[in-house]
Amino acid sequence: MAPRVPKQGNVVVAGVGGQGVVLAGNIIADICLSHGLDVKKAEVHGMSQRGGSVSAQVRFGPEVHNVVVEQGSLQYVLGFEWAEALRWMPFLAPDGIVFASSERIVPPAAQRNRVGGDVSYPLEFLEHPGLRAVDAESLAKEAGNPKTAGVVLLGALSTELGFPVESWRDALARWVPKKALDANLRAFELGRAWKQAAPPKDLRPQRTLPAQFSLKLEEAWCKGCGICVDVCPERIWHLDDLEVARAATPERCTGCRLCEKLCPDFAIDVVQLQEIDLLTLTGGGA
Amino acid sequence: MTTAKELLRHEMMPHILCPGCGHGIVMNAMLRVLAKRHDNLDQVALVAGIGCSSRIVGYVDANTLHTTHGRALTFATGLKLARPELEVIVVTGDGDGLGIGGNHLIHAARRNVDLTCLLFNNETYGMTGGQLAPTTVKQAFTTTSPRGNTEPNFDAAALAKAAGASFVARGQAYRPDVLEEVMERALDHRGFSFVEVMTDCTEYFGRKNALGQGSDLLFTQSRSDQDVSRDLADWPTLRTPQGWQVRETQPLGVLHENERPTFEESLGLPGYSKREV
Amino acid sequence: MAKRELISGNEACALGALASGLRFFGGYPISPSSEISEILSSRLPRAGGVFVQMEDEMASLGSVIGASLGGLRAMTATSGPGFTLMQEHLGYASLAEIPCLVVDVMRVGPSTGVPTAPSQGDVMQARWGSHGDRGTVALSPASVEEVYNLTVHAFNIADRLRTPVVLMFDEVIGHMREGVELTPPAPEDLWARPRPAGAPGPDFRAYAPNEQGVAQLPAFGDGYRFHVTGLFHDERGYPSTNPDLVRQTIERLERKLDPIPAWLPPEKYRMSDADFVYVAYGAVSRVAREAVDRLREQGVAAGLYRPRVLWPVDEAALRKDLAKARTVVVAEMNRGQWVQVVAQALPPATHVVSYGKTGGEPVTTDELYGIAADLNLRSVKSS
Repeated sequence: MAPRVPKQGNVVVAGVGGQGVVLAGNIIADICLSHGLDVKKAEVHGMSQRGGSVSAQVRFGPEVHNVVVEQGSLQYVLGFEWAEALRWMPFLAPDGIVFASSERIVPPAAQRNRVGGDVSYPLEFLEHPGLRAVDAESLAKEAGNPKTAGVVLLGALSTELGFPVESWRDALARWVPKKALDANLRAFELGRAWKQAAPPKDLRPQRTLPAQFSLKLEEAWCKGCGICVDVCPERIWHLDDLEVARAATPERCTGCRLCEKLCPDFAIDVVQLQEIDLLTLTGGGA
Repeated sequence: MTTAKELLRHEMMPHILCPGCGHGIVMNAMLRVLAKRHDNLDQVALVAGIGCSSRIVGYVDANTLHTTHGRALTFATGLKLARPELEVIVVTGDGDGLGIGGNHLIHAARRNVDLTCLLFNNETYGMTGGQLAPTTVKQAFTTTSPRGNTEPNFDAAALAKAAGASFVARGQAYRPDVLEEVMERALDHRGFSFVEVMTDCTEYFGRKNALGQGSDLLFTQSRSDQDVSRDLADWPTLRTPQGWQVRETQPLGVLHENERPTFEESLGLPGYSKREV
Repeated sequence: MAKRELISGNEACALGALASGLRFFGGYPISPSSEISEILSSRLPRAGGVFVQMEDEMASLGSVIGASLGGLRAMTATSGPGFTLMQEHLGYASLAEIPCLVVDVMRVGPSTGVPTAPSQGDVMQARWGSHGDRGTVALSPASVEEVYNLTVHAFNIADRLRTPVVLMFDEVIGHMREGVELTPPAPEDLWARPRPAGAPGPDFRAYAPNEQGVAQLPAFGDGYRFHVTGLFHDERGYPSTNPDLVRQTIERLERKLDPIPAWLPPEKYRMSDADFVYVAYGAVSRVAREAVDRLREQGVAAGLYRPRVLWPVDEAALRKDLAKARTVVVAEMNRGQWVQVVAQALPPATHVVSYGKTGGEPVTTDELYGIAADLNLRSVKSS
């Protein structure tokens, strides 16, 4: 059956600086234009030099006025980075789909500005039926260029949007540097293959996220200055009756290492546990 | 990979620094940088003078030399010329390096010996009880300026640059990542590298000047919002004895760098080229 | 080298240092010692060593200690005011057990004093100039050749006992020229530092003393990692305030210097039957020798006792050597410094006289001979 060109829709590409978010948005918009659709694209970037958020919103249809996707209407999210994908979950339409790379890049600045310690929201979203987690990083490496992880996700999206696959390949050829085209085309095919092999209904995430970091305290070295208590964005630390630091909720640790780096007494070690496999979490993967 | 903690002499820990002392944070950053560069510190010498900051070398599993007040740079000069292949780091404080040892600082900078000098500036003499230092800003209270300091303070970085240091930078305890980057570049630089690190004395300076202790004091450094500068601007004195909420803006990062022959090169020392950069 | 050369004491010092394997000199100009720097600035780099002119005397000795810790034979040279500035680092080198040589060419003090008239005013400064109790080593040559030889000895003592050594001579000796034949030391005559006991590792103890009570530090960069401090420290070099440890360390650092007087025994001139003895060192001993000869011509049983080691003192040996003396004149170019050592060592029956001359003029033979006359010694004619 020949692919059916969509009449209208929207896609958000979300990631951090340096991942090619804007480029991916341009490719999608270009394909829409080449099929005679009206396209509006909005970009958010700027604080992106050191891992800050970047996003591109693409809306297309016979005639598009509003550039911004509204809450509850978002059809597709391409999450180049795990947390950046999760940010867009509130915008999803009930049947919206999120293709999220399991790669996680923790932006230091974002860590500093976060307050609170409410880690339940990513867990909620892990249960979203539209979440599709993909180890795009590994597939990109398999394609021969780790920078093509975003194109893996484009490949996955191409199976959903209905434009002819040649249009995608042509658009890639127009936008991607010549010497990197082969790797990008391979990544694109790997993304398609992954999507076609993974039955969406089996993507059921587990209830809880196991701890990714363990916090070790050298009790005898802690002098109770309380710096860790005040710098932790997740409010994990407190001082006990003896003024010794205690981690009340170590499972909340995101590994920003502020406590470790700002501890004057070398008392805290943030130890990264084995890399968590989001694919098993979401039950996905080929 | 080696960790900072693995470079400590565990039998000496915990160290003598006060709870919340910024020096510990700077030491932590220094060891992280060294851990990145070395599996062990056989070929690294840490030379220190006298004072709180100088004490930290005793906790590091390296060739460590705790010398006399103000003279660390002179010991380091002799050691470096005797063993040019060593990476020699001088740890000094503002009283040590700019008060009693100011003369040695300018001459080491002038000679351009291939040393890295980390000057911990806590604006006071901490170990002796919080007295007036050559870096104490005007109006600040210390145990020997009970009515507020009336002397102008040194700008250590500007001084080092004027004396001929071929690398000058400033960091803060509050920004350990910037500090790490600056220290790495200082160690890479061939020639006299001077890094001034703003770090606070929580027991004396913080308390005397109502800046708070621990993290409160640490966070006062965040007011210096000009991250990286190539200019040595004046330090505007923005503090008032009433509020002490605002600290002066200090340019951070690499402030000056140039290439000129090191003292070792001028002497034609054999073995110097062995030092990897 | 078997050629007779006309050289000064300061030159002999520089040559002796080079012959000893000097590899680092850090100094600051001061009369009357500057020739040592000047010569070494030219000769030392050619011998593969490093010469640095530092910014002051504290820096000079600091750099010397640093270089010594790097494994090199290292020295500095100075005079009274500079020697005063070096006192803190002399104390440091004592406690941290870092070998080094400080040459002090003495001039009149206090303060800038009389530049640069001769004096022997730094004898007590060498002993007590640095705060705290510490054993000190001070050697005092009396001729150009002896300056050369004692420079070699000074390095040997410094290395074997891991201690700072002061080689002190008055300006007369420093600037005096003599025709000398200098004999360089054979390689086996150069003493090495004690080898570190044990392999590198967590159990390594840099400050564990050997049988001679000497710490056995390796050099920095030799693959041992250890701590050196001017604080009292345990065998690992880690700071300690344990009173027993502090006491024992002070005693050990003084006791380890005990063999030195026997290594460099005093010169005894016509002493076998002497009951009238001059005790003198440096330039004064040279005129005292003439005075002894003149007194002998007069039938006085005079002798000269010339210590080459001013510090440490072997009191028992001193007492034994001067046992026959009824009158002892201690002649010095100061107000009477080493005389205190002699007076303390000898029994009360011995008549100890201090002849101390200040003002920057050397002691003369007539003056010393005159003392004997003043004391109404048998057969001495008043001159």
